[in-house]
Amino acid sequence: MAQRGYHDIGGAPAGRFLPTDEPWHFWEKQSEAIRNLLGEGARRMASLDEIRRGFETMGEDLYGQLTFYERRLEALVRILEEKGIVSRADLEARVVAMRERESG
Amino acid sequence: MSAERGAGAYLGTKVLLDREEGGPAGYYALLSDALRDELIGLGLITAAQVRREVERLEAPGIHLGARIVARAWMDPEYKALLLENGSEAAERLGIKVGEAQLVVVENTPRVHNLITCTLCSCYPRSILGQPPAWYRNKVYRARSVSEPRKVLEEFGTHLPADIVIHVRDSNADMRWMVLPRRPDGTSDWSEERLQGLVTRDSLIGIAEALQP
Repeated sequence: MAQRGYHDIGGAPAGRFLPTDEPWHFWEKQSEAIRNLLGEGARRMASLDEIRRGFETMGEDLYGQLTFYERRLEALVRILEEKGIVSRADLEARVVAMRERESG
Repeated sequence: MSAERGAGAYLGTKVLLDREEGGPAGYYALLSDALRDELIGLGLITAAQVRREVERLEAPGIHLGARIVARAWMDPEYKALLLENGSEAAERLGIKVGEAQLVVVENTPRVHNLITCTLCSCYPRSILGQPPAWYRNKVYRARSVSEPRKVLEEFGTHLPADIVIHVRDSNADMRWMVLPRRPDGTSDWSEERLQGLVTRDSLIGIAEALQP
């Protein structure tokens, strides 16, 4: 029998159901927007199935730590890096520069 | 950039997250900007395209689902099309369904449908917008398929024991939406007025349509 992935939680034990909601932050909308733009017909650089593969292979620890939109962005970056479209190091350099501007 | 997430640091293959409140902008908030700037720099997307796509993401909402349901309650021919080909029926009202197929299932006096996505959080976003946080959470994903009646009760929806619950598990290529039952006492209502009885939760099957 195939081993069950950590994302495959249908029927798993879980606590009491709490109907909660959270605000939808701009950076989350922006990363979804980027994914949509890259996924559409002309570019075809990151399909929804690839995003799913991204978060089903990032490892259970990271999957468990990240929120839904963090997971999707992490998966998108991994897929784009795998295809040689962006490099994580370049993105990290930008993050560091932004942090410096923020604290500077 | 707001401080909605704590600081984080990417270290080789590990992302470390510090969830403290009030810290600098979160790692993923910055990564989102970094990716945008990088892709713009590569000439793959433009800032204007990103802005328009964000607007497009914000545009859908329950009102679109309510329009579809109220039309189906009024027009048997439209209802038949809706149950046969959800995407085509939505597009007939000028509502564009994204890359996945829309499949609409009907609640009847004998069958109640409940929508979930156990593997991630697939949802008819191009019609209803973003799913609520509870739909994306582990508890709903895990329990909706094993004890739907209990989950419904915890949500305040008590179904008679003789109603069968069909749980519909969505995926990346197929999005379910419920056609709730038309409430009694609305036979002389206009389509516009009927739209007001359709709630998000009734389109997911977590509740029934509002009673007049």
